Amino acid sequence: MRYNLEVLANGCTTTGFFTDVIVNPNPTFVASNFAPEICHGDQTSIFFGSATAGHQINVVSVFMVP
Amino acid sequence: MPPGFTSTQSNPVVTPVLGLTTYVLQVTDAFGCTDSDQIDVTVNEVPTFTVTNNTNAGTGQICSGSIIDINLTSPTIGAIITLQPVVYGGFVTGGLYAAGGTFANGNTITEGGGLINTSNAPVSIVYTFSVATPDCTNPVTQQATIVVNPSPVLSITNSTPSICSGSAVNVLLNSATSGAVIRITSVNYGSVTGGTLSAGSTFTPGSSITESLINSGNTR
Repeated sequence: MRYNLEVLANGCTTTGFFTDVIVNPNPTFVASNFAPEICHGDQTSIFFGSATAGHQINVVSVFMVP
Repeated sequence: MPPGFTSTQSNPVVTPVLGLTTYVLQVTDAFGCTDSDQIDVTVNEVPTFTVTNNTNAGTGQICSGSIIDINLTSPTIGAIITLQPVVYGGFVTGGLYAAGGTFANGNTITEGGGLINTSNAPVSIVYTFSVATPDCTNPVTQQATIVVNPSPVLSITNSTPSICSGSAVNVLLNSATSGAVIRITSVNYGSVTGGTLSAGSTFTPGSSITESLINSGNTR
């Protein structure tokens, strides 16, 4: 988005100033676990999806559920 | 002598009128003897003039880079109007009359290239005129004052060129020009919401644009 500006003083005006701001969307994502229960040695099947352009999904922690 | 004028003074005083006057003097002594003589006296007009400052509808104020309009008129035939050297100071450039100049009835001073104020405050320039003919000088001078206002400057410090949705922008607006007011001419929020500013919103130098903006989409 852009703010267009001018400055006035003593009856005189200078125009043509602007500044831009990029407002980035807060990224969203969905994790779909297609294999919530697996046998020992099998691979998990978890799908991560996001509609946000330029997204990157990081796994921040993994822990065992008792 | 004016008709009917008599005097016993050896040096009578009369007030002549404009133009050529022939004075015929006759003297009669105690014995009734007479003699006469005549002299011509030409009285020239003291020139008059008018200085009209038409600059910017008569306000005398211009913005930096603009021309001026000082009109000079004189009803006196042969009058020469003299402009004394103009002192432009250290902050006004483009002046053409630092050495003064001479003008005739109907001339106009425009400073054709425009006067430029390189400072951040208004500067006053005084034009002082006198008028003379080859025979007489009017001792009364006249002046016209021009105020050259600077082109206002603006500095923008955008410390938030890129924000996350829901965050606030922070754009510092400043101007070194005395009396400056900063105004938004337009804002293009696009699909961004939360913005409250519109054309005409004003700021004083040193203040900031701060408002939280929301991008509900998935792209910038």
